[in-house]
Amino acid sequence: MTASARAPRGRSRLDGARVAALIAVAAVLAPALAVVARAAVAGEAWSRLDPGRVGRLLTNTLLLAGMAGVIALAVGLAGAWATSRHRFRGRRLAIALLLSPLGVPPYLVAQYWIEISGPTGPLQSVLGGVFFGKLWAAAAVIGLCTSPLCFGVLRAALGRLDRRYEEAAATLGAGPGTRLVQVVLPLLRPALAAGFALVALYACSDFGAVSALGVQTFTREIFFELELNFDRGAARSATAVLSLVLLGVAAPFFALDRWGRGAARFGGGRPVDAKALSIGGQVAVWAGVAVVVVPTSGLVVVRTLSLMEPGRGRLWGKAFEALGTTLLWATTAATIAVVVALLIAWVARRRQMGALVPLGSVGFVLPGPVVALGALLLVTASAWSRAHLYGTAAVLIAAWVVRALPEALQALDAGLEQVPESFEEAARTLGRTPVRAVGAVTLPLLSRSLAAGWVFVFAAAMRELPAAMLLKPLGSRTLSHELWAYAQDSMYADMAPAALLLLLATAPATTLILLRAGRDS
Amino acid sequence: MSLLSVDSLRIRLGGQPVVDGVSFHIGDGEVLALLGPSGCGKTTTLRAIAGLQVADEGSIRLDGDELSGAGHVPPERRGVGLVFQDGAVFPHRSVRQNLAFGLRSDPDGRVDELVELLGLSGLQDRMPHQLSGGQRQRVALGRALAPRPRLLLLDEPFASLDAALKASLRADLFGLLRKLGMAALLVTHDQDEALELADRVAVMHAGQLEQVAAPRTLLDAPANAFVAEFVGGASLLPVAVADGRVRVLGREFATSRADGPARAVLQADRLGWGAGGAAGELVGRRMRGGRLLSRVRLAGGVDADVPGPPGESVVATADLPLVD
Repeated sequence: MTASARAPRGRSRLDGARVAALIAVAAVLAPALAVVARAAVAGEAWSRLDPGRVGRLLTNTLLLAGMAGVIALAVGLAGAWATSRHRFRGRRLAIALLLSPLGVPPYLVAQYWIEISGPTGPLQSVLGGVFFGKLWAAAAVIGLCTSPLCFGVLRAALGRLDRRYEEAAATLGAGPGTRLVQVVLPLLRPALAAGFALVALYACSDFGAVSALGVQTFTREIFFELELNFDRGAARSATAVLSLVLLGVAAPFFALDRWGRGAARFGGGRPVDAKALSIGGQVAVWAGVAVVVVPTSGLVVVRTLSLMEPGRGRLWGKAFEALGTTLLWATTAATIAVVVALLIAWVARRRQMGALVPLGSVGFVLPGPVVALGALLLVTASAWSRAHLYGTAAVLIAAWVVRALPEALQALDAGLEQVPESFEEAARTLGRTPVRAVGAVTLPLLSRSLAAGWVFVFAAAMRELPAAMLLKPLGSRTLSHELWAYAQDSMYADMAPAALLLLLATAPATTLILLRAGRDS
Repeated sequence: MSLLSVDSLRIRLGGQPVVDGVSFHIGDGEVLALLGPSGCGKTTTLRAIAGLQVADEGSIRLDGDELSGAGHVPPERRGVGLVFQDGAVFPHRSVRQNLAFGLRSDPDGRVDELVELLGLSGLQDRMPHQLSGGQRQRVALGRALAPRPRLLLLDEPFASLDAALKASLRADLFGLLRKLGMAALLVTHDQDEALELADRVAVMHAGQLEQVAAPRTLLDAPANAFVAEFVGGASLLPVAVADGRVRVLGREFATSRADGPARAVLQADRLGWGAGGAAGELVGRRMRGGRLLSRVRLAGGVDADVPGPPGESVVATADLPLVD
């Protein structure tokens, strides 16, 4: 019998899946590779690099990432501990509120911090513009807005933590404090690392919050260089060099995140029973919730509504036009991202190509302006693409897919982990082709993960700012761009309609995410 | 005075009484097994003694000190050692660090002593994931023994091990407890384990104790049908006591029971094949302790396990215990 005759009938088609997944990953990596390649050949640009400026950007970016990470971890850990170890009236509401900052873009939060403390703001006399140009303010905005990421990761980890480790420590004489420090925190190390890394990566890639608050970081500088020299190819070398330095800064956080996710989970047994919370404890919990919600989601919702002025038909018209455009592009991006993520995650799990998932997650270390730079380098590389792709929405949608693919991959990889391969094998032995086996068995079981991945990418695309500003076709604007333009001119009342539409458009997605998180409590 | 005395212990979980008036005691150096089917409340009782579960009513006294009731003493101040089902060995600490967890300092080489005692030499610096299941369980035992607890609690300590390992670890534990003179409470659902390891066995069912007695007594004189069926693995055959005597399966013997209906406990050890007994239909067979048991359905639908391949009729080879 020859080898080819021995191979099962479907093997060649599955190899097709493998090839398709490799092509998809190559496409996702392409912008990053284009940036690296351009930086590698930009010898002269390296020599023109100003060490003082790079040092300043490095300090700011690392300080911002570190401070935001610490804030988010502290808030997330306290919230996770309070809500998973205790019972009290309104616990589900507290959980939803602690997750609610996910629903508001950090740049909107930052704009409102500037607005309320600024010359025309209601708190001008108290705050007097204290936030502008302050690194700690940017760290606070980003830390609070991303604290739900830490909260979610740590809540899940606490829920999986077998109660017997703490019980064993107790029977060996360890009091509550010792148990927390010597048993719980060490066992949560992977989750703490993953949460910190997620926040640090976000801080490295943030454009809007640092720009609104006037803090110089790599991402912000890369954006402005690109915007200034948008049509000058030569200037892109210098930007590529700066981008490469930023990739180097973000890469360790990416590795930390991978380690945290991969590290063994010490679960399996029952988690610690939730205890009734004393009145004093409840007061403390709700005070903590207020600290998270009031300056973020609470501020955004209240201020957007209170800035609204009657009439302004023309403003609303423009805002609705931008909404239509953004909805079309964001749904396209979300759909493409989910299909690509399914392909990559499936091949990674079923065809033992696990490295495809981290490779496909390169978007984690690619801030919007860097993806935009990579996309521009690729599109302007050939005459054909310059004529047919340059300046089209396709480039922006592709950039969004690359940027948000990690979220979709994560959802589908976790979903596939729960679907044993034997299900598909059973379908095969009952006469289904490989593709139909996946369609008949795996896809229905993955419906929740598919929905979650889609919603994540959709929400991320709807609010994405820097790539949208750099890559949008001439004459159209995304909703985020629309509101940003007014905010930059301190026309906050004019910004309100676009801000409201953005919040409403992403509200169903946010609600779905909150419901998912609330269900497992 | 007993080392541990549990008196009228009551615990409700989610509104259900899980432990419903349990009383027993453990003497110095005594090993007591708490035996019962899953869900009978035995683990909850153990957790209450460890202080991991707050009791609703009743008292738990260790060396005369009240641990339960109004002034619930937290687990870290009880001086009670606990070994969990699958060990709960801290995965982020080496063997040595696990053993030393309960010690403030180790001036007299307690850790090394335990390494020696438990046959863990050479493994001190391994991490738990580098150990076999049996080695991990030894670490869990050593960790609990390290602070020299007054009482050792064992919660199904062998349940997650395979049969061969279970037997050898069980034998080691038996020797170790006797050598140290350590008082212990063993919670288990495995009859053989309880009968083999314990000085006395407390049989628990639906939150209450059915009988507390030495292993032999449980087999020879079960207090009721539940004990006979659960501990002896026996089935029950209705009989009639008349004039202080009873006749069953071709054997007649005296009993102290009052005249009237009773049930004979059909333990495999006391049954055999011979003439003049009860005829039955072979419905299955199984191996137990290397012996073939034939499962025979007697008249009236009672199944009995009888040693050896089927013969003429089932007879009692010794006096059978009687229960209500």
